[in-house]
Amino acid sequence: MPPDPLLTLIAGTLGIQPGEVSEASDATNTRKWDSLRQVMLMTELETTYGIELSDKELIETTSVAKIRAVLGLRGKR
Amino acid sequence: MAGVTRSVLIYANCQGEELQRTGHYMPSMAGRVVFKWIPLHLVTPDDWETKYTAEYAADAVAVWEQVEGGAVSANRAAFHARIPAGCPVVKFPPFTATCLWPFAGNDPRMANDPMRYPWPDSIAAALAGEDLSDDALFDLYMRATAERMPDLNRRLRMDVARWKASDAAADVQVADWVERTFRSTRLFYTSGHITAAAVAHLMKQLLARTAWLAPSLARSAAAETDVLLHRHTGQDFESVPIHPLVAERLGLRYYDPEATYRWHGHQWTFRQYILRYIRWADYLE
Repeated sequence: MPPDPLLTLIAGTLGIQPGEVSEASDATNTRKWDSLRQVMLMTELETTYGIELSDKELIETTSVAKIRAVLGLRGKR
Repeated sequence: MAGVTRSVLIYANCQGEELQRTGHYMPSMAGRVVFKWIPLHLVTPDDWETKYTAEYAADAVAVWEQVEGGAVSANRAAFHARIPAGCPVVKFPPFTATCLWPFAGNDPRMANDPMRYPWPDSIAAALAGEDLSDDALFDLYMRATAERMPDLNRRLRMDVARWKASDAAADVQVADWVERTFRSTRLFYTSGHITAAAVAHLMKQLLARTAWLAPSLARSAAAETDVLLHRHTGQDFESVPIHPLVAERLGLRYYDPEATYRWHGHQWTFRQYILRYIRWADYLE
């Protein structure tokens, strides 16, 4: 199975191995996912998927599940 | 220092190391108090049992604790458990800036080689496979970044909102000062590493709010901060150059397009750094 592009993007932005990111990953259980990388991750999502996140989403989208939900709302899978 | 049995205990990222070092060299603190630093971003569960034990923290007369967003981590809980009963705590915010490096993002090369260039640039990473001359590659990067430059005023607003949120959880505030100062004075070497000006601002505020220090002693220490940091450059071992278009759009008055930036043992211009970054070039030769 090819690597999931979202998980690969998250790992590449956090600077960790792709295998360290799973569907259960969030800012509390994932190495390097701190408040600074959170901003980098959100802006990278905006750039890659051509979307704009609200201020609330920028702060609160702190897990893979929440990222998928935010992308889903915008028709991005 | 032998014989000193009082400490100021700092719990912070690497910005805490700057505070610890500055405090260590203050003449007015010599013989009175030592400064200890627990690196919140590096500490491991084992460290709490071996290095940062209750005994290590027992002589603290003041705690300087850097705040973080989100839930209390296991490390922070372990730290809190070691603070002596009744020891006053001064909370302070981290210095961070993302608007100065708007292309920080995905670089898959970091997974296997995270320390070579730890401050990612997703546009540069996307050009890694290009087989071009230096001039052509740099032109391509500049075109790509100009086309994809985000709204930097929005990025700045995002940073300011984070600064203010951190301030709200702290006893020491930096948001207004950073917003007022960052265009005229360089405060950041990377999105998380700070210059001496930022260290000094933080140190003085912490000293002023440390109840254990008599006001006259706190004022002496604050004055020594300026002397100690006069020729100090801060955390410049990795200094990520700022894109000239970012400097222009954010109105950075200190910016010099010909400036060189320290990268460990090197001094590189923006162009030199970007070309090396794109090619993931070794620099320890």
